[in-house]
Amino acid sequence: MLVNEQNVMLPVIAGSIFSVLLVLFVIYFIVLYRKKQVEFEWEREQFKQQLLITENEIKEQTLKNVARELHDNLGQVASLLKINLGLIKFENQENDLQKINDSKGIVQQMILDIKALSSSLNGRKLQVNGLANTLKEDFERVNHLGHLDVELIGDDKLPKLNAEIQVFLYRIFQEITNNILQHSQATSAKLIIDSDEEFTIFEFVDNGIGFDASTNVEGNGMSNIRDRCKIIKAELIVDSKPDQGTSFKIKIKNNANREAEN
Amino acid sequence: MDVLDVLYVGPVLFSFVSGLVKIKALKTPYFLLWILLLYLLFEYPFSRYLAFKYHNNLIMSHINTVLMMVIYSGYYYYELKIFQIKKWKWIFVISVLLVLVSQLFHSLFIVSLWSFASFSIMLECFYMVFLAMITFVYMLNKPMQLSLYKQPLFWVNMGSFIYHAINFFYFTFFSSILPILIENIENQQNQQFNYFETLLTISNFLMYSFIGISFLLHKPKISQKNVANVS
Repeated sequence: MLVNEQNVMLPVIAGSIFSVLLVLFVIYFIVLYRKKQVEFEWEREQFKQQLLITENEIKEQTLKNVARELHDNLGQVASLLKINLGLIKFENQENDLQKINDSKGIVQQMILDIKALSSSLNGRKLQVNGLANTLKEDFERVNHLGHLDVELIGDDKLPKLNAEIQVFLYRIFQEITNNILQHSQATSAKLIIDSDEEFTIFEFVDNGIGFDASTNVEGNGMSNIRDRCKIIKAELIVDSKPDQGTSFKIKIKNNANREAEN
Repeated sequence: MDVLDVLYVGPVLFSFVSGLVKIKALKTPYFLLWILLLYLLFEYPFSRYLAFKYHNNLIMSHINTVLMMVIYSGYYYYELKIFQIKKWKWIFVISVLLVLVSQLFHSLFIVSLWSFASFSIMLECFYMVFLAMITFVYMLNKPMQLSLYKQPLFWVNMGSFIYHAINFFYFTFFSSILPILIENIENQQNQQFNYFETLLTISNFLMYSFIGISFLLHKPKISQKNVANVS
């Protein structure tokens, strides 16, 4: 039995075309991968530069916070202590004793405040304490100033984050806290953390005066937040209306940690 | 043993020895591939024995394809981090189970074990080409600083892709190729059959050689003791 020549040639031609296509695909993949590697290298460089800038900004912001606290808190407490001690006249022993005891209490509080302040100056606090604990400390300090009540909810849901991602996120939250303090006139704010296997969502909401989010006018702080979210490949959703507070929702892939490590 | 047999056994042996040399450094997915090679080294003479004794060794095609499916699925499961996410993990496990059940059902109830497992092989090849494509996309989305040629995943995936794509093509055209096969049996000098056999042998050669290369790219694991000594 002789096989029809046309029937023989068809699979042979198809096989040859298929083999050529396979080889072309392999070459295409290698070329595309190299292109992606170059892009990735460039992104990585940008990431490193931005990380340095962000770390410097965190230092600057910390120093500003310390200066503000020294002026607003410690300066006031020290003045109070001076007044308190000035009231001791060595005439009424019982009254003087009361004043001395009050002063002791003030000094004790000052010691605690100075300790907290010095820990905030620790450049490695983020690496040592982690994002959640550092934010908690910062929020406690903000609460202590008395203008705003900030709360951290769901910190137990925070997955283990890469150190570099933590720096960016910390700076973003620092920036949002500053915005709330300076512009929102809010009395309370909450940072809610929620996470599933794939994503972690941070939602920072306040009860301030809000703004019209539909307008394209953005301040420096806002564009910085947006740029940083872009760098860490996080999605940012800002929702705000006049007199209805503001919500910043940041959604980040949990494996962004690994991407940053690569 | 002819040239085509040497081109099949040679790379399997090379990869097996490469794996043996690097056995302590091999990660789980690569150890699975090494187990496959170990099996193939025993399977080859056994398959020859069956052909010699019973003039039919096609039962091995049923076993081999199921084993390849299990081992390669295991390989991709451990290598692609996306399958550590619960949602994808379940989709992957269920799809692998579906393919395996279909293969077993077909082999045990639809066709005779002594006939060629072309359906099972086609199914396996289709699934593996699909997984290889996912892996290519995965690699493009997460490029590494390391050169592509120094990445074991690249070699294994490329080998698997070429092997399964060619096999899938071969069995898709099986009905067209069959008359050529039959004619070749009747007329030993027909060259068309050799064309396809050569194509399959090249795919085998590439896949097993690439597995060997991926083994050789493994660097020895640094034990805690060594780390302590270094520090």
